[in-house]
Amino acid sequence: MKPNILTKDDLLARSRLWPSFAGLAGIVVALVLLGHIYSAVQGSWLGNRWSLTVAASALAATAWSFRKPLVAWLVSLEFSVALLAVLLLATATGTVLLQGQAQEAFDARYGAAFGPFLRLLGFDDIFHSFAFRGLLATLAVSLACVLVDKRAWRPTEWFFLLNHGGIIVVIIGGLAGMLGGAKGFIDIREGQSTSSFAVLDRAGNRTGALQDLGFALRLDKFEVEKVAPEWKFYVYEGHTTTGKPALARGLTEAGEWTRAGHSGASFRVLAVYPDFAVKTGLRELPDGTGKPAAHVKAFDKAGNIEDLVLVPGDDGRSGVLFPETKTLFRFYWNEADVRVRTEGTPPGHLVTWKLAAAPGDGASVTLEIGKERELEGGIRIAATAFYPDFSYDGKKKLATTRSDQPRNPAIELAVTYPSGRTERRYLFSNHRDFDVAGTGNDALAFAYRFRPAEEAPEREVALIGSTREVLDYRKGQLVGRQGLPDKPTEPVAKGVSAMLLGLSPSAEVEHTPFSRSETWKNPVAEVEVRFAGNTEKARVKGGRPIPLGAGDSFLVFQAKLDDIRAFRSRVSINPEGADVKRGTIAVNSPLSFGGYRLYQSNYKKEDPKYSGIQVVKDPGLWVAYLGFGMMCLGVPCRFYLTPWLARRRHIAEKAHG
Amino acid sequence: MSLEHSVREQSLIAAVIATHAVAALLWTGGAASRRKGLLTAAAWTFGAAFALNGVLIADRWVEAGRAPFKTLYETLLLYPFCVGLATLVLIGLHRLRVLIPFSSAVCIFGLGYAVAKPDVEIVNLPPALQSVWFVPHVVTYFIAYATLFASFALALLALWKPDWRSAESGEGFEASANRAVKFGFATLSLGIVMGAIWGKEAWGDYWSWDPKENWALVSWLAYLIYLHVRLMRGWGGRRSMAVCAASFAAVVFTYLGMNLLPTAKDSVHVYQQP
Repeated sequence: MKPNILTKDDLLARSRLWPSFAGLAGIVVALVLLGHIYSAVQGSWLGNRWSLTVAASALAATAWSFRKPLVAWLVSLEFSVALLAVLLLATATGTVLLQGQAQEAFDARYGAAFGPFLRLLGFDDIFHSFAFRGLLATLAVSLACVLVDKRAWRPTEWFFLLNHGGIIVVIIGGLAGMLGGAKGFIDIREGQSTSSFAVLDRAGNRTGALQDLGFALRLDKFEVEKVAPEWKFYVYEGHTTTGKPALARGLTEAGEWTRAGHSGASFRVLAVYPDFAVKTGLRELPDGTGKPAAHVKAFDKAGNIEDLVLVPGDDGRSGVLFPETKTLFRFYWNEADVRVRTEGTPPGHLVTWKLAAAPGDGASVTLEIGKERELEGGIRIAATAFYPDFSYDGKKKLATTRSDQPRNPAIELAVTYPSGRTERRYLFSNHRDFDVAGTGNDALAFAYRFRPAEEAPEREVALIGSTREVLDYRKGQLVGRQGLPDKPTEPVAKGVSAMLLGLSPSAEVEHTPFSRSETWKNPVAEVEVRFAGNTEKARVKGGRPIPLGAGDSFLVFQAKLDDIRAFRSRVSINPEGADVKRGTIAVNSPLSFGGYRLYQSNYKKEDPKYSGIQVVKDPGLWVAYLGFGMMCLGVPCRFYLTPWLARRRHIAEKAHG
Repeated sequence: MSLEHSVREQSLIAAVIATHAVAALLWTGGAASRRKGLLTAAAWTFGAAFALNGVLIADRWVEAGRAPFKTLYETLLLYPFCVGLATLVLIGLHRLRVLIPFSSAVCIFGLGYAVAKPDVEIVNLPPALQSVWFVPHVVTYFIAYATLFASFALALLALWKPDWRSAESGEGFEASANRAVKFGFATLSLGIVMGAIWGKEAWGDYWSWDPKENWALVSWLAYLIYLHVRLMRGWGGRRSMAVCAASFAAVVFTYLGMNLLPTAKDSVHVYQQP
């Protein structure tokens, strides 16, 4: 093929490739040895400036005596290729082996025998090793020799000068930054001032020394701008709900069936309620298969409204007590069933259960903590623990209670099947929808309602369904009787804050989920999960994982609150002086002053007034930038302009005979 | 991300994959039957796939409200676009329609890999990526990667048919591969320099020996070795083409292999496993 940059005569190979590799291997070994010798003599008289100058001069004199073959080798293509290949291998090795680790960690990773051997060669911190820097210096020397050998200052070689010289200039810029520069860190809080910084070494570790900045810096304000939290569905794998999720889906895209990572399950979102609530209502069943029920809207003095469906009580705890007036409001279908309650009641745990696949609102039992109750079919249930203000300690993996107040009442329900198998689950009074236990047609669904202890009522208002009457009892004695109001918006009895919305001898209770508002106060999503041929609906509450597949993956509906849009440090320089200068340090927007550049580098979640600022002084910066510019210009010019100019010259020469 | 966009994006990806498949089939049919019309149709179909790929990127750009080059999924939409661009330029300049099956295959692979990856979520750009250098740095790199893929394909062809010459230009695959390497190397150099300047603005260092930076350097050194090797006596022809083809392995590893490295966990460049 025809080389179209340089002719082979220009770049006559003066040595062979493999001897060049062998020679370079010798150079690398020598550099490793020199690095160890330099480390050993540092601090002694052998390591002072004069001794090193003498040693370097001796080395240079030796090299000078072999200058002709040495330069011929350094400018050869074979040497270039070998050197570039060694640099390539060293760079790749520096990514394969752990770098900058403590000696123990390095040896633990690579073995007690191999680890020290790798460290001896400098492989534990290749890029800051004497040998690697020596190779970069060798590259610069080789390039300089090439430029001289080729007399690259001639106009015809300017592009060659640009791209090869650019690399030398970048290396010089880096060297200038290393020798004349400084790097440090400032930990500062709002209102604090400093005029010094903690010195960092080249690897970015603190040396323990402080260096004067030459000016005072005060952090006036530190701003963290966060991205508005966005609720999404996350799938976590491997028995965990922390770390990086295996999958993330936004709200609307989750409407499609989605494979949940490697769990084998798929899910899709049916509905999302930012402020979940359940609307309770009655659905009449004219065929008489339902139960008598009254739908009542009750009010408290704080203005909260609660929908209640009252059914004739069978456990002495039905109805609702208005604590302000000590009035018990109850529903009976027949007057003959009225049992006026005059005693107080202890706290109760009302568990409602039914077959998961069956419609309706199921049957209820009141449980005592620690005591078992038998249901139909030999199934036994027991509330094994009660948590008035349920919380889950993620670290200890234990359910706990935050307080004694019944803010988030929950029980641990143990369901024991006739086979002896026991399943445990938490039921929450604040989320009264059914929770399914087991799978298949026999699966049971449970709901829980905590009933706090009630004082003895002083008055009982009994709503009689069959006669549509309201009976008023005081201290157990009937004192009044009146008909129900015609309009459901009128109070059913004087002094009782309740309205009748529906009444039926045969109805079933309907629980319709809805969102009270558009704000994310109580986020809940309804999802469908498909696994091993079964499809089930589940309700996922914000932040509460549900298991997927075989149980080693979880679906979590959550908003991540820590996505940060920007960090900004508002600072004053020389705040006490007359010429105070104000500025802002932000990521990608450093502040330059007094020869230093100040970078926004760190923040602390737990301390919103803290800012970490990196300080860099780099006298070689513009030299390196010049080198970059030379390379960027030189490479395309060398590839495209040089041949074009050569062709033009050739045509012109031909034209002139 | 809206449901409408999600459905549209998946449909567009399917359309781009299908169009690339048709282009590759047309080229195969044309090459087998030696019918120029089919080859021309393959080139036009390839162009249509490229245009659809552009629509795909523009659509996500609008939906995300930022350049969609942050996640692996997003770059897997960008890379086939750049491969398409590089291929069309080479077809336009040097009649290298022979690249169509290679380019279509890599585009189908890239887009298929994107569909299989779960990081489809549109995520926010962290502060460090909110820079004027973000788009030029990434785009320059991907143009370089795409051009170097073309050089890889041409090097393979040169190794397979070293004596083939174009009827139109008289140029063999080796010369074409070399042209592609030169452009790819120039853009790779530009990408490294832009990244270095950006690093200096963001973190105070223009080079921090980050694994991705190091592998970018490895790729750059590999092609630098190729550019020098092919000038050495006895290293032209098949030997230099082998070096050229092997060098592309460094590019692939730089792009997709970083998660395999033990040093990658703290890298600012690595596409984190979602």
